[in-house]
Amino acid sequence: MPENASQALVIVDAEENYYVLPRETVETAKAAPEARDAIEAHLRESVRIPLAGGYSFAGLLQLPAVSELAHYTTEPSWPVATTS
Amino acid sequence: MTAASEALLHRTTVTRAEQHSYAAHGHVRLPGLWDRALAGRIAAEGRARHAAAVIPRRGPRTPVVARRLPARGTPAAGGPLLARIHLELTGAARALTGRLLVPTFAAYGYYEDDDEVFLHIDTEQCGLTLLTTAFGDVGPLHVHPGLTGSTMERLGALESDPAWDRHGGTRLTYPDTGVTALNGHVLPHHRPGRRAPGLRAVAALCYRPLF
Repeated sequence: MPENASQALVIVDAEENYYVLPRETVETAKAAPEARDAIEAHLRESVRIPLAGGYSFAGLLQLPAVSELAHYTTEPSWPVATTS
Repeated sequence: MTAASEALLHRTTVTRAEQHSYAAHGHVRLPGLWDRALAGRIAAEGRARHAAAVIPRRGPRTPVVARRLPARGTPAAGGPLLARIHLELTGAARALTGRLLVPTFAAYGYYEDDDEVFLHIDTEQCGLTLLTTAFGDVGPLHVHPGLTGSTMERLGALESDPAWDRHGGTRLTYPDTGVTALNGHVLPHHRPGRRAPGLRAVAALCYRPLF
């Protein structure tokens, strides 16, 4: 996406509703390189549909909230002091 | 829809103002997520689960000098109601941060006679922490943007320093029927503590970015 901060990625749904994703939001969602395999494993299908500014649509990620990937644990953690 | 799948919450979305406030400050109050009745159920579950609470094996560890060690740790326990709320707020957590967050743990933390919490940052399990009072009178949490980037050793040194102003920082309170969202893995925070007889509990709902 161009460096111009006023620009944004815009997607549209079947009812012609627009969704405007500012560059900052897209950058915030940038995945770590080491997550590549995990992301590709959970993409419903692998596609590359060019959007704009060098970005392409890669697919839909299917991720139930309660899944192995959710890292959910019944073991809580809580802050405590230790001796230095 | 069955009773078991009925939505617990009044809202599972966040406003643009809340998004902006969180982005600007690293914390924001999200009031009105649930009603008084659910607040009562949270309190009841929190009290009931106290008997099962244990000192967690994991969590932020603030290294302090021996004289600053607290008399006891903070027991914690989960509960099925809190777990449901945790999962139902996943969408709001993602919308607030713009990240693909996933739930990690939800627990009640119990404070008896003193609600002090040492200066710390949360672990990676808590890229976003949602906090509320489960029951009892819990004092404000103090956040310290000026200490962002400090190591736990540095935070421990401040806690060990009698000259450090434990009443400084920005005070955060928790809504009665909602949460205060905190970027707790980045923003150092502590609770000065108040000695008062009795038991009180904070509920913490943690999420981490998946990628």
